[in-house]
Amino acid sequence: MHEDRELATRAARGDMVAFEALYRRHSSRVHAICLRLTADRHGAEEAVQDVFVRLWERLGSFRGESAFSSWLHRLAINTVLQTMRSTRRREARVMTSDDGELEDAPIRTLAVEERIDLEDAIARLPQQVRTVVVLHDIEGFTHEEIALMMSVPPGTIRSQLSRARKTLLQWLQR
Amino acid sequence: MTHLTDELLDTAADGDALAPTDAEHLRACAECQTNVERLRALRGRLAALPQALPTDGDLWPTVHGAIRARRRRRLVFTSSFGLALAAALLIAVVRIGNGPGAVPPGTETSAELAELKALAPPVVVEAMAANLTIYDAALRELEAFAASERENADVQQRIEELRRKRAALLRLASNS
Repeated sequence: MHEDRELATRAARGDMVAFEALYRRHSSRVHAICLRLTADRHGAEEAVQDVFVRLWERLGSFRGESAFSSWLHRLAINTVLQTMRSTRRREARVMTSDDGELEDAPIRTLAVEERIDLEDAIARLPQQVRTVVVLHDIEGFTHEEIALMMSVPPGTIRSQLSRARKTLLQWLQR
Repeated sequence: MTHLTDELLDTAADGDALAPTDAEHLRACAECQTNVERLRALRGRLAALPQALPTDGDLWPTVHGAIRARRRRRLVFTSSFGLALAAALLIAVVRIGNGPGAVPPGTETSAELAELKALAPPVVVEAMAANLTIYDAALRELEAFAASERENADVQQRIEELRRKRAALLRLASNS
């Protein structure tokens, strides 16, 4: 939007009032992305802070070729994915796990009496498949775009997506 | 009868084209059609989730604080860098005035110093060896900082500025 672009230009020149206005306009949307990707309230809030600090530092590189919101959402997704990768690498070093980068936790089965809504169900998915279903079915990215963001082949994205949807359907049918 | 695989059901639910034999199976198989419809309904529910979810509290003060802290760190870094540069120039003046005793040069400066030896007196070459080492260390530090701050035009500008000053000092020494 035109207003976003104007605020971004002012903020890039160091105008903190304009930057706060951008924060107020976009923080809830960025939070939704971060919360669904991390499935963790505290982690999501930390991610939102990281995203806006990065945004402040990178505003100068916003060329206005795409909508500011799309650019910001990409920045948010990349920030969360980067944090997830670092955490996985750190955990792998500590646990000396043999699991490959794309191995994911097994999908647990739910007890019959356990009824969950859609947001809960998404949050309970293992990290990799959750990321794929959030980016594809909620955020609307293509398999190829997600493959690039996650540095994995598109075929892997398709199978992760299939796994996610099948599991969600099973859980939600209860 | 062999039904469509999960991935093919997804392909159909996403509206992407199936191979002719798979499309034919789907047209004829009520079970696969039901599964595709369930997947489509799920996609619809996912797409209809709220796009914005407010945070529990206002995170702006924390974001603002983090930005201010970074600005302060950058200011300290910039000031330290300015002091280091001033110190390097002071050493150059003192060394040129006081004669031998300079720090040995790093390998990257060897070629430049070899050229300088043919043009300038030994005392100048020695002082330049010390100063180029300091410049190179400052450049390395700035370049490492720039690698983690790729979008930071200010750091890039300072690197360029330092390179220009280094080259100017070399020219000055060559003409001494």
